[in-house]
Amino acid sequence: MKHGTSRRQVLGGMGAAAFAIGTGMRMAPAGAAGFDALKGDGSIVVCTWGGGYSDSMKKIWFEPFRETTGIDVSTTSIPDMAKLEVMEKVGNVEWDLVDTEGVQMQIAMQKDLLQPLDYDLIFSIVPKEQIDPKVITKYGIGSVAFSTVIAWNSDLFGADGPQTWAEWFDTTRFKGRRALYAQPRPSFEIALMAAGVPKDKVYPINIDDAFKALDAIRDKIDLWVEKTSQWAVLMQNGEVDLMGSSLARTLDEKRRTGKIDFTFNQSIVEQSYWTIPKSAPGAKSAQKLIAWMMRSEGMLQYASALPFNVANTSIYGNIPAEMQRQLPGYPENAAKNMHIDEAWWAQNTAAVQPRWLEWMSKA
Amino acid sequence: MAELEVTEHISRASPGVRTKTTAWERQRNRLTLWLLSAPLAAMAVLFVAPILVLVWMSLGGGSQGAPFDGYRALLQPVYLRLLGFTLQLAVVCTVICAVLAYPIAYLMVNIRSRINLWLSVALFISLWLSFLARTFSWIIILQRRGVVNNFLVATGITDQPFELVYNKIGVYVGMIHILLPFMVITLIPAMKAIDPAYMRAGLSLGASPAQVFRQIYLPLSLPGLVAGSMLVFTLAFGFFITPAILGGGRAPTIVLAIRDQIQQLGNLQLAASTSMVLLVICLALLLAYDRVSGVDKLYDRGGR
Repeated sequence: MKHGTSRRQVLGGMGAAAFAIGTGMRMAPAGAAGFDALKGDGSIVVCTWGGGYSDSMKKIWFEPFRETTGIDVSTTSIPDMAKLEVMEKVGNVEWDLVDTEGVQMQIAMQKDLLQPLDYDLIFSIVPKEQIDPKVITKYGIGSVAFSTVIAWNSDLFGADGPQTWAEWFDTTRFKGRRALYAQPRPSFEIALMAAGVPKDKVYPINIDDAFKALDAIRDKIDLWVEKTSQWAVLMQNGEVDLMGSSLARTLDEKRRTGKIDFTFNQSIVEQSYWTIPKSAPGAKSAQKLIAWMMRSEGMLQYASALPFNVANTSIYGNIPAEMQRQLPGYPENAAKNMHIDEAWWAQNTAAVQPRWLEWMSKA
Repeated sequence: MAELEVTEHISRASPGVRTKTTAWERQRNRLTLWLLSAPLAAMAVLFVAPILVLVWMSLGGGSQGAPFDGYRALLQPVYLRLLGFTLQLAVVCTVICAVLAYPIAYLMVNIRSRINLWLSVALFISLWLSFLARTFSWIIILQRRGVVNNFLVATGITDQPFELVYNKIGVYVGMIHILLPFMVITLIPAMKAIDPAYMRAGLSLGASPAQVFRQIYLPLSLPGLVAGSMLVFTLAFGFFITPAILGGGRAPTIVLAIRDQIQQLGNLQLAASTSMVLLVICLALLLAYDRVSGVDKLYDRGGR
């Protein structure tokens, strides 16, 4: 999704700087024993989200994978389930491995576009207990998850910014301009939490209640953000003071200018999954690549490079303390977040989207 | 050259008279057909075929829906409202572009000086820059702490910055800036083709300059103006990124709905139906224009 793409097109600067830390931990690639099950030939196509996001994947996962197994990996962007459906229909699937958003995976499952993952292979390479059980599903295993966080202008509010969405909307305590994403997901979740719904009681959402909650906050939103690339411009110029923004962009601005701060409290996490299309020509090799990527070595590098949750949670013990505070997947931070219920959204998006557009067009 | 045109005019003027086709003409016809075959094939493959696929998809081809599901879903008030707003946006942009572009094109055609050169440079540079870069530039200029507001606040003209972007004002400014060059470059050839002798003749026969402009220049430049308007309208009608970003969520267009239909809903039939409606509206305009002034005039030599 455009929305999602841009959210992940992380500015090169941050990725590169953090990546330098990551490469120090780079493991010895080729020749390593124990990967005989992964050996193969030919090449596969991975459909992911482009930009710094997929550049890091290439460096950390795809190139060492080729050196070790002999399977070549090329990347393309961007995952689109409508496109996948057409490819399946005409019998010409170009993607072997797809980095699907949770809701996309649900849609693809409804349309029977995916094949089950080979968990015997995966767990022969990676101990099962290292992988977060929440992201192990029949048709997909967690790739990354990205977060939307409560963020604020620290010139204005110092370190004591709003700690909940209800406080975020408190216009007497926090005088400033507010911006959220122009999409029902995660605006529904934000509006409901602001209305006092506890983060673990948000689902199942009653759509009427969600729009009522949105009506209550409508006048407090000064602008709706369409693309993630807008956040940098908005933050740098003080156009808005309170944000529900992408963690990657927020962290980037915080490091660069020190004028932005954020909290992991009530941050909203949207999980993505590695999936294999039903008729993927390179399915066998794609299963091998998934197993390769689940290993803690690469995961540690990836999580150090980009602020996304990863599937292998065994890595967090090895991360320097000052970095732990910035990683959304670090257990202490992860305890504060809430997860998008992708199954609910897959079922209800068709009902929500026209109403959302109608609601927006009245604004 | 001139002689050839004269003979053409004569043969056009007397369509009833069937002249015998000579060997030369037959050969010329064959050559024309042969030369046209490549562009015709390209048109068929690159334009006609995709549109037919779109029609097929809008009627439920390739998906589970019943044939008219997509079009029926479009009757929801939300889509009608978005369509209405998008139409209004496109019409207003077209009119403002026409009003702004006309004097610019007039200057560029009728004035011989360095200004002319600079006008062209400015026009083409802005045409070459990417839409996205220009859209973000407008944010830098119009935002609350942008160039314009900083100036207004510093000079004391206002103490509160104006809301110039992330609303409809921002959308219009950004879109008109992007679309204006298209109108100007369509107007220029039409104006260049107007023979100045007509105006001199009008003036020497005692018409006032205003009359000459209204009764001679304007009608002769009209095909260019209409062609430019159609181009700008079509572009504005399908505009996506500029209204999405500069509108701050307050100017949702029908194109935004199509994006969501594909990306959020995965409903290709609905998206194809919506696209067909946009296509039909644009075609209807083309036909209306044909009734008023004739499509062939678009390709005519500027009202000669």
